[in-house]
Amino acid sequence: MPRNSDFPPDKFNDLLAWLNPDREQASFVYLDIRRSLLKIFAWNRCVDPEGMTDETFDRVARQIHTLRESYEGNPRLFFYGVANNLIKEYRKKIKTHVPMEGIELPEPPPQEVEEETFEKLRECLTKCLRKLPKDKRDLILAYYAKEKQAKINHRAAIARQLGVSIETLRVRMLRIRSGLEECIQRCLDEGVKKK
Amino acid sequence: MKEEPMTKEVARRYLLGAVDDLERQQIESLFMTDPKDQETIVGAEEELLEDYFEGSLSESDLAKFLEQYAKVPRQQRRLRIAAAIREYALSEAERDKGSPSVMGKLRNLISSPVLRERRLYIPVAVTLMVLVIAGIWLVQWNNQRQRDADLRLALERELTDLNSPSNLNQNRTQMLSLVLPPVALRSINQSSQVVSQSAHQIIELHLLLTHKRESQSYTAVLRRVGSTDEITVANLRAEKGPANSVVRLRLPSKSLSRGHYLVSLSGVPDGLTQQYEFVIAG
Repeated sequence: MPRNSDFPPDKFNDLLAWLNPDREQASFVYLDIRRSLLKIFAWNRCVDPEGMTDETFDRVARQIHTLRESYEGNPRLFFYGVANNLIKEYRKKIKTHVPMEGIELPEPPPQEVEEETFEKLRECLTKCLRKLPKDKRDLILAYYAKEKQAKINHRAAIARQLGVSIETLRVRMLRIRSGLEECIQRCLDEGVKKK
Repeated sequence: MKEEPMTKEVARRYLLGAVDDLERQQIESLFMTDPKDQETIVGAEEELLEDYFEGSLSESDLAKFLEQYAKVPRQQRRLRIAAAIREYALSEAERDKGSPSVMGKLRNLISSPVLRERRLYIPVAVTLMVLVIAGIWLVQWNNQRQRDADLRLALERELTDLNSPSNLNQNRTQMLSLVLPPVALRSINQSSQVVSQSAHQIIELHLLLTHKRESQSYTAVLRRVGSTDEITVANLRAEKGPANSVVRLRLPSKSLSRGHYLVSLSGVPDGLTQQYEFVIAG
């Protein structure tokens, strides 16, 4: 399970048990909450959504025993409450930050100037597309094959061909794209680490 | 919490950062707990991205979008990934279109035993007519492509002339200068530069170089996100700037339409490449 924070395994198990008594179901809920928090932090323009998501889980885990005993309600809302506090803290921190505009910054050392070239991005994209099953790869390429007005009829035709509604097609495609984007992000991060 | 169901419009306002703090919290709570609302917001984000890539956002929405989606390096990267997926799909579709399938099908049809069946004469004749019409369309489409290629060639000549050392030394009126640092993965947080092309005849880009070693010359490739067309300007020279060396690139604003532009600058002969981006807002 993708976790970067460092709270003890027993607390993590308690946290999963609080989310759902069935461990497998709990894992799904955990991942879903994680994905939702990542999006919320990104929409709030937080610089490090992953780090803030980990911090949210850490803070909830610290209170897990009390929560399991006394909290009534949807655990997702509790997670959101903690995340919202973090967003507020982040905003306060940003406000006290002095803008650097107009100040000449020293040239960063060469190893930090990691440029994400189109070639590298293209390489990761092709690599991740190859990892996708053929039907998914064909679907995402077909979905984005047309632009503007032409895309509407084109997508309607794809939906008809698959025997699904346009909404279902969009949700299916978004899931594929989200997985593809995560794969590309990882591939780019690996490229940076290797250097 | 909120009683009303989430609408696309509300979701779009939220994503553009145009809601107050209370509404933000209500929307985010719904996003966390209601799969239907989650779908609405994610769908609205998808539409917003498509409008951005197709250059159909209004000027105020574009400004809000860039503030929300292009300010933080992580977000800029996500945007580049989303753009790359779309560009790849478009270029693949373009490549498939170019295959000689129409002629191949015609040849197969002529040599097929289907033609021996009398009852199939009418459908075959109709098919042939359709293919002839398609052929005429293909010729016209090719002519249009040729015209586009000629126009691009003329534009590249104009750009070469505009960026020749003698012309670069001349100060032009109605020219806007824009300093662009390279798009770097882990460098200073830098948002996309947004300019309006209507007020100036020429936009002069100052492409900051961060490589320690200067190349003999540079080649710039300009591309609008969502389009496969590229404009190349070669033989550009680096000049000493106040802090970094710069390569100046002058572009006639009439050749730029609204949208997100990427410039890839490669050193010759070492091939060191840096990327830059800017946005034409209207």
